[in-house]
Amino acid sequence: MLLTIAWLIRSHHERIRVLGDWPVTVAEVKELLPEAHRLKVDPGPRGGLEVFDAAGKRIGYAVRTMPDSREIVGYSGPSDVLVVFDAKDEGVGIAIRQSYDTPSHVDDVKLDYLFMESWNGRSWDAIAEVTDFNEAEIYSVTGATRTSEAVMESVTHRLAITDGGEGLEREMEFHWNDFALLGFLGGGIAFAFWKKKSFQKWRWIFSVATIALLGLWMGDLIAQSLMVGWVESRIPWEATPGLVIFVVAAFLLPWFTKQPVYCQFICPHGNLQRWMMKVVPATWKRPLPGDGKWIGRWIPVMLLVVVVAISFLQLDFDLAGIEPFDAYVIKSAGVATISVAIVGLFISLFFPMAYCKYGCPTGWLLEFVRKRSGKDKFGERDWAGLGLLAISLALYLIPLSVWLG
Amino acid sequence: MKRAASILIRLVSLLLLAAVATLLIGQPLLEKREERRVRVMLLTVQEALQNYHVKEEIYPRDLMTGAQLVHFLKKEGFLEEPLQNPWTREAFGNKDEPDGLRYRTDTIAETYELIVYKPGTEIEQFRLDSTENQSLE
Repeated sequence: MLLTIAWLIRSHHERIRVLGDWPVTVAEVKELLPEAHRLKVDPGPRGGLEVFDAAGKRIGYAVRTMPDSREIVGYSGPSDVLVVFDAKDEGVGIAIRQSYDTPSHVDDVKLDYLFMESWNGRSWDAIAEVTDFNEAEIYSVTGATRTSEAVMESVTHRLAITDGGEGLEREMEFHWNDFALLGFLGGGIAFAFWKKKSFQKWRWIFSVATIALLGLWMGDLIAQSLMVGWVESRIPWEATPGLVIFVVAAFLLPWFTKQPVYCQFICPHGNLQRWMMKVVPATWKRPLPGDGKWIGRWIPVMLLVVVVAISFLQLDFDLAGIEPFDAYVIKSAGVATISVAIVGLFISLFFPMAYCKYGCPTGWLLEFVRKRSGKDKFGERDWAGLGLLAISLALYLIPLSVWLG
Repeated sequence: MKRAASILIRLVSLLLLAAVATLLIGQPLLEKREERRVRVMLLTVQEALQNYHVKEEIYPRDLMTGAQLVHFLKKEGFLEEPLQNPWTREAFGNKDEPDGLRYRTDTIAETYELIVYKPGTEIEQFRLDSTENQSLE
């Protein structure tokens, strides 16, 4: 069911991408080259636009990175970047025209003027030749590292391929954070399956490490915004192989082993809730009544309906805001995600693990695929899954014009 | 009795959850729907203005609101079908009704500018003109 929903979202967005192309306008170029008056398509290998002033004099060149850089995905999607050069073929600036990446991260990149001006004064060839961004003194944006790296790579790739170059090679590259993610995955698996007491006594250290390093430092939590972005565009296996393996393993492990390894051992927010349980006396805790539990189980389903609708209808809504996970990236966290995180943690003081049990759509998906013991009956959860599939099918089959008027 | 109360609580709570979902999706959906209506209106007015220019060889000289422009183009015979005001969702009628569209031309009426402001603000949402922004793409 989940794979079908994922396919429907992907197919829907492919269709929109093919139908909806955004040509560059003079107004956009004018932002970077104020004298721009007219654009003329360059039929040459560069495939961009010649920029002319009101007197008809060629004053520069503009090029967009899409569709050539469509495969370069940041945190959750690719970005279309406009690169403008002056008459001497030296960069005068870049602008993010449209992005399928997480909006809050894209905003962080746009507002980092030092980053946005990194290409100024560099020639087309000099940019196209960049293979090591640190060496070229182009640095990513803290708090939006992947999004800014995708922008950097998109620009270089687009310029490199037009002069007959092959552009950035899509080879799998492991960085330190990929190894760190695999380390956390290995740690989670070890604590889930190796029940020896002498080993389990170290679990608290692992738990603190997930909060401090995986959460607060790396910000790599599995979230709807991440997964929807991947499904809508593509999975960036070559740029962030560690994260891809991490996410895939989070789904496959409960499927094959019945063990919710990510939710119970790795998720920083889950671990933080476990620590919060120890903050207040046990007498303060309240069991949730039966009806409360029943209703609570529908909250993640309701959020998943929202996620599916937002994705299919392409609404202006940052999915990061419905979950607490982006709050760990403190620098770029929005009010919504911080609120969800704080409220969820506060409630979990009195109702242990309340967010995990009754609020987390990502946890619901991981639990949905988990193999169960005993008789495999078609239950409440399966009906909810079928409902989600039916909603996805309706959104896929009914034309956008019907929904959007 | 207890069971009936439990069913009622669950039913009401499910309805509340559905209402929350509707609220979360509703606001951005309404904005997107309005945006599409504005686009349709803008492109229709642009086409009528271009037809006016073909016939008259100049654009209308006066500064006008959307309602005034629609009224003018209709009177001149360049808009045949009633055009929907995207903000009120009713056909443009009274030329003094409020809207977010502004029309202007240059001193010799050789160019035009159609600017849509976000409702109640001075923030430009869309711009169509005869020189630089001829399309909404």
